[in-house]
Amino acid sequence: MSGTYHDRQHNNEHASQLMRTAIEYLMGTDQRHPYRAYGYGVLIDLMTNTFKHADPDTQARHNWWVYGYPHPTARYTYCFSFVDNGVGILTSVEGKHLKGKLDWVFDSVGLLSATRKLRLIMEGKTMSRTEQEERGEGLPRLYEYVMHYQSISAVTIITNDVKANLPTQEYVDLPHPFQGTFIHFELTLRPQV
Amino acid sequence: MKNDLLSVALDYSDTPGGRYEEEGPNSGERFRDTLLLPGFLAARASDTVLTVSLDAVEGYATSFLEEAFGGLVRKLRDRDQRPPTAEMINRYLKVECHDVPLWADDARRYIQKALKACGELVPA
Repeated sequence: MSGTYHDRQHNNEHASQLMRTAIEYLMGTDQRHPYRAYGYGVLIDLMTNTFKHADPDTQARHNWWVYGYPHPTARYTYCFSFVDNGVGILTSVEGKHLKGKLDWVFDSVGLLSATRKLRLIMEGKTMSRTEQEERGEGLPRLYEYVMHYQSISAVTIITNDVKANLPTQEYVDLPHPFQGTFIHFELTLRPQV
Repeated sequence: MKNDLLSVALDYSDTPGGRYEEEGPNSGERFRDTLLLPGFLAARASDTVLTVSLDAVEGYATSFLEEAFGGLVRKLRDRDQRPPTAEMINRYLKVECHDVPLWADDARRYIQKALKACGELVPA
């Protein structure tokens, strides 16, 4: 499934259909379930973030693609792979303040590592320049779903020159930067007997 | 106090979208401008309570909830030419969600953060 800026009127239908299909596969019925709701919210945030990540120079809008599929070996796991060709998470938050003073100082002089910066973004330790709007809550929420609620069982993020594995908290530098954002996440749910 | 109910699912959409209408349909911006803000102002004018139910939807993006509820505080500040108080918000607005209580917590948290950003001191 894919979407563009011009096709954005269908974002909600796409996210709804993807989550219904996933829950039907996992539970045998597309009933309402908190995991279906969590996944829907994550997908909407990812789709709309694509528009926010427009190239600041050209204001070009970018596309996204998402693929939902059963895990090849784990029966009760459903996978989502989302990718957009925007500017990437790290580039899109340039200019945002970091909450830790030391991190902010290092960042302002270009000495904060990309891995450290992505970790801070995921943990919600950034804030907007103006404080007029609280933006960028989507990624910290994804982090919470993984680390605190265990409702999403695996998340891998590749963006700019960093790869992150949220459950294991591994953040590594990539030798070749990726222009855009790739996020893979999995829902694991066993039907109740 | 009289209590008026505003249901996102029944009165707006069961597939809420993102922050702004330009990003896609059923945005938090439009929900706030067409239903939440008018409902809040009516409750304030008539000294009643507006209860917002977040139940029975597909789910919520964080950006929808922030723009709706944090945005309500910002809109009130702009409209009244001064920041709303936490006491005023708590008196006229109640947010509930039985399906996923986390969403009601989120909505309240975004209100608190917006109040803080507007200069209103929020009790811990």
